[in-house]
Amino acid sequence: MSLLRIEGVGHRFAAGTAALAGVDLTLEAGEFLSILGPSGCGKSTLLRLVMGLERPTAGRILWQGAQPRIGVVFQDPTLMPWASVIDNVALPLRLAGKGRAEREAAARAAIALVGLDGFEAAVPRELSGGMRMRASIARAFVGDPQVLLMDEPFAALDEITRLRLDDELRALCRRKGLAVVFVTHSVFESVYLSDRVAVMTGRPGRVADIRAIAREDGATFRASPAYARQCAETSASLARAMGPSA
Amino acid sequence: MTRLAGRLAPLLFAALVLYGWETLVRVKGLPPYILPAPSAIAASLWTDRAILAISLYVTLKITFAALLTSAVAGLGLAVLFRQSRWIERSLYPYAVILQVTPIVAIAPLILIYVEDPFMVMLVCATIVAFFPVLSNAMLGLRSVDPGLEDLFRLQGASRWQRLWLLQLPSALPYYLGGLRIAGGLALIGAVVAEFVSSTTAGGATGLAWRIIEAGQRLNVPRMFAALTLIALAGIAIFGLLTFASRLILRRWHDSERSEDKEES
Repeated sequence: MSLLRIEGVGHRFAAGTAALAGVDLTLEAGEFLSILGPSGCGKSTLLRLVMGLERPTAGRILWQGAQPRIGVVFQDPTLMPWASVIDNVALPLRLAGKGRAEREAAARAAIALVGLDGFEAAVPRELSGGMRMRASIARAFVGDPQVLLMDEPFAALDEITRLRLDDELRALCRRKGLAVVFVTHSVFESVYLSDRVAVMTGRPGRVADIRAIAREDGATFRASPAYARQCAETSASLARAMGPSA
Repeated sequence: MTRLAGRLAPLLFAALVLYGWETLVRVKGLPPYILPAPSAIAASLWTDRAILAISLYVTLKITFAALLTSAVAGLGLAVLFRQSRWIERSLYPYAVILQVTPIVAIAPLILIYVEDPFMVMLVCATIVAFFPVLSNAMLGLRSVDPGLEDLFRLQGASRWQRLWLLQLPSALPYYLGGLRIAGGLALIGAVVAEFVSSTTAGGATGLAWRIIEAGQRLNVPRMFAALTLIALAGIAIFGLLTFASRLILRRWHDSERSEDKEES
């Protein structure tokens, strides 16, 4: 049985615009699922619905059993500019009422996980964009999540930083056996990272195609013909989903 | 422009003006009750230093008491308004009315209802200084990064946690900006309150009172001396609050980037 089932979900904003219409999607345990679509197709809205920040105006979102522990990463690092890296990373634990010693130990471990050791005392302004995103990812990992929800986390980063973070994120999620929903508008990123890619149409968004990615682990995948072929196929699928007007 | 030259330019200008002023008074032979020379004002500052120091102390005491009251009341009300739209809708218009009604028009009423002269002046100065603190604190409490707000909601943060860990730190730069404006206004309020209440016996003994008293005695140099002290006090208060704000914000807020970056 799937970890998460999204059944016939539709969403209308208060102004009346339809963002999503009849979205069916599942997330399996330990799976890396990308949601790929153009800007404004409602993929971020879909993720907000899964997070529980908004309620769908149609359909259902069902977790298997109790809702699992969730870690979230937004498009911006959304760090508290006045707080140090360690305090930022420890925030979810602080809000959960955990004691200082426990918070700091867990935060240090999460900071080490994303390779930010040595920057515990720095404030966000003193970090590069990539490092801020690492801190944001560490914060998502600090509560030992079972599911990770990410909304175009690397969209604002330079290509080189992004490729590196893609590699590290993939390895990290593999190692921890996490289920991930990863929203992106990059075909290459989605194919590289994912076990499955859900291709969305323009607004109102629905799932046009679900592509299972045949992938091998390791950095060699990016250079392989299999990767290039699947990127081409996914691009074609995306073009079909967006229709002739695009 | 080098930094040193930038600092010296206004001082150089002041020296020129003072020199021109001094020359004018000497050449024209103006008597001190028409226009005292800067040297006469300086002399008055020195010879009347005992009286002026006491008056300065009185004025500063009112100013800082009003600033402190405004800082606490402004923030407290802003936090209250943030908790409930209804409280905000009910009370905020009156804060605005208090702000737009000239203090010189309200002060005579306060004189009737408040006995203690210190309290009279504290109330007047607080009414003048209070509004920018309130409105800036309100703006700040609303200027929270929406992403962080989402994160706090997702983590099930309590109202108290949202206030303490998110809204108050987000509001801090705005709040400090409000205090910086309020510092000058508190001084203005204190001086105005002294002027208004000086008509009653046994009222003020601050710098504004010294100006009125010296004026009645045609001691114009002392009037200028008291005025100089008020201006210096205003500059000092502004400088102090700016320095405090920079100290608190310099590590994380863009408004307090180091000057090297600004000038590059």
